[in-house]
Amino acid sequence: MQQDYGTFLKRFAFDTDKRGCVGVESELFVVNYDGFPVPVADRVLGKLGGNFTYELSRCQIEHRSSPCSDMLELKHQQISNVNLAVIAASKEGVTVKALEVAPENMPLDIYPDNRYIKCVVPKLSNEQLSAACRVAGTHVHIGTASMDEAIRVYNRLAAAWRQLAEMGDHSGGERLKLYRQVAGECEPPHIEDANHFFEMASAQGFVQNPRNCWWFVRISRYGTVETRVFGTSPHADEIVLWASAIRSMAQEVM
Amino acid sequence: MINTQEERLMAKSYKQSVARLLQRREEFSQPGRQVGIESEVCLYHPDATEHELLAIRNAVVSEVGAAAELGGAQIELVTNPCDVMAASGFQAFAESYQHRWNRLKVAASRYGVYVMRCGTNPFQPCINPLRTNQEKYQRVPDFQNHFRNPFMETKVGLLGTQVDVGDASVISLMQSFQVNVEAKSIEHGLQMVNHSLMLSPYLLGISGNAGWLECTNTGYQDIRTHAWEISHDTRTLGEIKQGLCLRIGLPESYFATVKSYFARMARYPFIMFNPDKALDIAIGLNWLDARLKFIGSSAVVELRSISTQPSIADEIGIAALYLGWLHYANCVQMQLMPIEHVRENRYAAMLYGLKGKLWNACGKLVDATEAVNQELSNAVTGMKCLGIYDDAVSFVNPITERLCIGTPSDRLNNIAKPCIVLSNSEMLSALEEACMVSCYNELAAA
Repeated sequence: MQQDYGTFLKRFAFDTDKRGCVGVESELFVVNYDGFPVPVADRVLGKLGGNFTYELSRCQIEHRSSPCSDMLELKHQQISNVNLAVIAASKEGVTVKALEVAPENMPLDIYPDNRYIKCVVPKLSNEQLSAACRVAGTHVHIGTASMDEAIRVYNRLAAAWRQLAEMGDHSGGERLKLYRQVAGECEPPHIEDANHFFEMASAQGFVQNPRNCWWFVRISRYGTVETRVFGTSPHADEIVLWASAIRSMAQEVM
Repeated sequence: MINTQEERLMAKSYKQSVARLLQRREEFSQPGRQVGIESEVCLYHPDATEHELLAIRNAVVSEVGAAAELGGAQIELVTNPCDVMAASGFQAFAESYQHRWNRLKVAASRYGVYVMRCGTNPFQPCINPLRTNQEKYQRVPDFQNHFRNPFMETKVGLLGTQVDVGDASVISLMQSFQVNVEAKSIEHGLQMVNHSLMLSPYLLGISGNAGWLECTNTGYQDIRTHAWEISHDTRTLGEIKQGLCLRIGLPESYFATVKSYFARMARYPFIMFNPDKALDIAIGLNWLDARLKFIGSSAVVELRSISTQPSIADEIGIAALYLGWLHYANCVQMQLMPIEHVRENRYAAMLYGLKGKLWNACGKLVDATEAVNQELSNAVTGMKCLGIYDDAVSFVNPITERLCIGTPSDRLNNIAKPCIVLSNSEMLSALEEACMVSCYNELAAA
């Protein structure tokens, strides 16, 4: 058990150089010029670089910022990524859109990735698959230096998750409702300490892989605290506002 | 803090003023040849108290007939409008500016103070710096401070040490120079504004001269406008969600009509109350990178995004490039690039100057030096068409050389390297070595 605990802690790559830095992952739908999702993410991603990756739905792409110490740096990267995505998509006769919840009749094509096809999709009902494909969001990470600090920051953000969710909501709560259909109860619990975190991870099945924690706020394997309640926004200023709010709250306990 | 009754009266008066102005829009049909410069510098003395510096500033201002600015140590020089296309017109324009600058140097030398030609004053605190005691310089920053979005982070810095710019008075530490160009009509002026917004990041990229605040290197090439944006962000969460931009920098989209230009200004609080001057107040608070204003029967486009340069020759060179580029854009009916590319270019120029990547007019993301070089070539073509090239080339060459040697910010950072935080005396030495500050000897100044 003690060995498992040690192994568990080692799964989190805390980096003091990135302490307090913020990073953002944002999902975008690939849509036609009428705004309807089209399953060509692989073709669009083929024209983009390392800041972009795929998602479960073949109608989505995700872009990431690097860890930023300064909010203008973050804003610049957000704008830059979207500009690059628009250009890449236009070469395929489509565009990208910050759509928080896509229409029910959108294509449910899965991105051609073995993990999705063999491990993820078989476990989902049709309703869950539809819900998983229809939602897009923005995840804001803040770097922490140690597990103790991560737990303090986590608890601060977990306590504020409803306020943050409201701040980042453009769908009247529909996105989080659909998200819950896929991931179950996601409300982030209070963590007493690292041992308690380990016990919860063991009980909830993410002790081997922190990526399998679906809480709205989680401690990520990158050594960050990741807030996952925000929807999507076409406006970089709004994403920077979310990141500012996260950092401001985190700094209260760092 | 906000008087809704006063705001309503101001809005009503603004609307009437705009209607009156547009009724006489034909009066604004002009040759479009007049050009002027406004340029801000600031005074510094290591041993002077804030109030001593303020008194010296006021004395210098009254001696040289210059204007005070928000900052208690700031002075604004304004040239008369010059017809740059007349025979030797550009030369006369340069001489007029040189004359005013010489007068300022002489006056400053009498008090033994340093004159700083830099986009930021690193010697004063960003929070609660010295302000000029005039109503507008008290009321406007106080308003911005009161309504600032509390969630928006106000600390800046890329190099580890951050500076808090969360006080609207931080603008009193920011110096810029503005080029004013007469338009041939209001519509022409609006087209020039759109073109200027698009060009502005390229000029910003080559002119970065505002990286230090509180003797700390923020790592920015030019933080001036961004500090303005942060400290003046009074948007509500709802407004940010809707994608409304600030009244600073770049609008949501280019201006398609004169009506949309005036409508946008009316969207923001007037803050000041003087119904007879509602239009002037709205234009004064319209802090876009380029704006259209009205002086007598001239529609004048003002480029506002460039920090004060280390020498007036640099500013004359940049003004010449701007005039040339505007003329070129007009002649070739240059298409506007997507405004989101301009937005990215703008931030890239502020952060990285010539070391970043910029979108070029062909829609390609290229090295900043390549993109800037292309636009400077277009500007030179325009200068030749305008007939100002021969008189302006000696001013322009040192600017184009920056593509190889770097911006003024690069120069200062190289001198200060590896330090990120300096003492006042180290800062002063670095600025002197970078030729951004001088204490003039009276005889030499004359």
